[in-house]
Amino acid sequence: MKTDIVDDAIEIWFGPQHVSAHGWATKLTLVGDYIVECDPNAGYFHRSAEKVMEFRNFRQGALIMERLCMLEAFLAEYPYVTAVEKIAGLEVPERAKVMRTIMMEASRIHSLQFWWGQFAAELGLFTMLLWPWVDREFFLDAFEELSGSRHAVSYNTPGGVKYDFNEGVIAKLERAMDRIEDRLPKFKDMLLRGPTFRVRTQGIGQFTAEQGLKWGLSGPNIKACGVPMDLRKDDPDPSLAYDMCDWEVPTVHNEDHPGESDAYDRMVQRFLEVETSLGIIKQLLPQVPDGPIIDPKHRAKANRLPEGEAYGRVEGTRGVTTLWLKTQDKAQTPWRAKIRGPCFSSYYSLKHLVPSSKFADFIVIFGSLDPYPGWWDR
Amino acid sequence: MGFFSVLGDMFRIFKHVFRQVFVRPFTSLYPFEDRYYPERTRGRHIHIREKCTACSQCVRACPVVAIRIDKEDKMYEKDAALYFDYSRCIFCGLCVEACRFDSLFHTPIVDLSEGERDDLLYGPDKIETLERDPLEWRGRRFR
Amino acid sequence: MSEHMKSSGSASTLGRDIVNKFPEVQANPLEGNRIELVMPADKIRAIVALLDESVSDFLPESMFAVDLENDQYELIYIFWSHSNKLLCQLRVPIEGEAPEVESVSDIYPGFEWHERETHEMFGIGFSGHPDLRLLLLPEELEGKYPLRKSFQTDRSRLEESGLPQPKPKPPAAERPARPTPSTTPKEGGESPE
Repeated sequence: MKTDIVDDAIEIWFGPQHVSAHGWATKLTLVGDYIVECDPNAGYFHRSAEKVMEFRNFRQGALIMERLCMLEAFLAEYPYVTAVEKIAGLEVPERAKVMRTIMMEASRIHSLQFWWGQFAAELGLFTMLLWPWVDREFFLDAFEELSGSRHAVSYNTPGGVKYDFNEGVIAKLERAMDRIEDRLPKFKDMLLRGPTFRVRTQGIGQFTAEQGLKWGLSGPNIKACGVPMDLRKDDPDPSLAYDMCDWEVPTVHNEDHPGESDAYDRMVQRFLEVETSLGIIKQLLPQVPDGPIIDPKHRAKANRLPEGEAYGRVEGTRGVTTLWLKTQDKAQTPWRAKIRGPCFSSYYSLKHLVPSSKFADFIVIFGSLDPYPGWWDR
Repeated sequence: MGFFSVLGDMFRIFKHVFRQVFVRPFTSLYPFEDRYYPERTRGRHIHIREKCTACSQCVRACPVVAIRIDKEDKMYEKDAALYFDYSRCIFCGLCVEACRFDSLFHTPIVDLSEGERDDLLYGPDKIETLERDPLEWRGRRFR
Repeated sequence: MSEHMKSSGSASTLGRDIVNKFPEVQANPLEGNRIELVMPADKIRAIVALLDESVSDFLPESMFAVDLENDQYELIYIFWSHSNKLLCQLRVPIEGEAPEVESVSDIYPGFEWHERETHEMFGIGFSGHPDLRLLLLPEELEGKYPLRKSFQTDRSRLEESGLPQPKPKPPAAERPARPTPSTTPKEGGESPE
């Protein structure tokens, strides 16, 4: 850093021991109270998932994906599974498609509930930390009833899903959804209308859609700028059931700064995301068709794959989550698997977003991008 | 901020207080009473040795090499002794899924804490039986 | 938002435009509105600049290298355009002990960290990149390039896992150009975690 520009510039490390810095560290250069340079550092969580995947077969690989981001486990393991299905030529049954979609949306709501609590706690409101996390437990109960595990669900598998819906699962899902619907106005009241929140988030971390796209941001961070970029609509996946229901991509249009988003807009956007997901689940739950839940040939076909390349993508909670898979002929393991975590780009974009803002706003900007260290360190 | 609004706030607080007094507690006294575990809970395994054919599909399916098989140790005509290393197991359920002879299952017993690290290696005598009732030994340990 | 693109927005039109300007580029249409452009390594910067010009809302989705063994690599750049629903995949075959291509991180800043990661994992240089420090790896793995196929994983704890020892690989000269991976999941169980 060119500290010779200003004599009183100081460098401080934010993290990795800081409470809000759960496994990352950023070097900030401050002049007075203002940040002039930000150097995000990654790698504190690096577990070399891509190399480990090269030694695991196609059934075991999805387990690594879901361990990268436990909060959206159903969504995280999907890119791997769909890439394997494309190469192996597996047909997903209709019932499995709808069940996958329902559980992926439930997992999205669960992940966003976690984010509200975390973001509010970073801003100093600890009531909001606990309330959504209580409601989150109801979704975890549903996940446990379905798959037998609260976080590491291991639900999607090449060819379909592993566990079938039963009455207990549906009852628990409905209970969780009723609960969140009941409490959503309260959370909106606390977060969006609270004067402290408005002051601390409005006009903070503002960027335009063009800038965000160049940095590689996607998902709610871009949708908050008013661009309805959503892979669920743009690139409809034939093995998911988003076309069976009627929904719109939620976007935020702020009159004060059209085409741009600040931390407040991103907060509003994530409330809209929950409402959309709730609508999708509600429409899909009565529509689950009867039939098998897995391709009967999944054992034979997913064991050894032909030579090929496939690109599995899904609109995750935090943005575009993809996996690029290359296999050799009759391979038991992938030749190369490349994971694109959405937060890799959002963490990088701090480098451009943070300078010239106040030090106290750094954690607000960071938290408003919904970061998850597992996605960038892999 | 008039008198009535303060009264209204107090009323709302009292409403919450009375509701919390009569509601069932969310927490449970853990060592003495257990929470509800669903039927599909992926806890520790149980190995039914009579049905096992020593095909070692579970060993092949395991992503973390937590299962070891000893084919020499024969109790029945066609079977093998399984060793589960619960310091490695990630409870993914792939071994149970891979078993085609209905001889390996998960149980809803999830409290595997031990004093010694070596006790987490479940040999054939431990993995075939649920010899200790979890409630009982937990109670004994904490009392 | 169709004003984002001068041409009609389909993948084939974009491919034709680029092939017209750069005849050495080979365009392969993929299923759906997707296209793959295979190009020599020295043209990558010019073509990415042209892509940036013709489609203004490209999202730099992913960029990585694939090791094809025997010092041959492939770089793959993936772009996604929301307004045109268009996926464009660039494939750049490169070879050499320590190959080097031009960085595109000033055109698409989103690729800056992807290039950094590719550099530390595969040893591919990016000329013109602002900083190529280590991103994810610890210092002791600098220059080891762990995602290359020639990287040996830690086998020091193999014995205690009770797994069979892997067969030693034949030297590189005897191996065919692109062999099937001989590693099975059981052999990989000893990789460091």
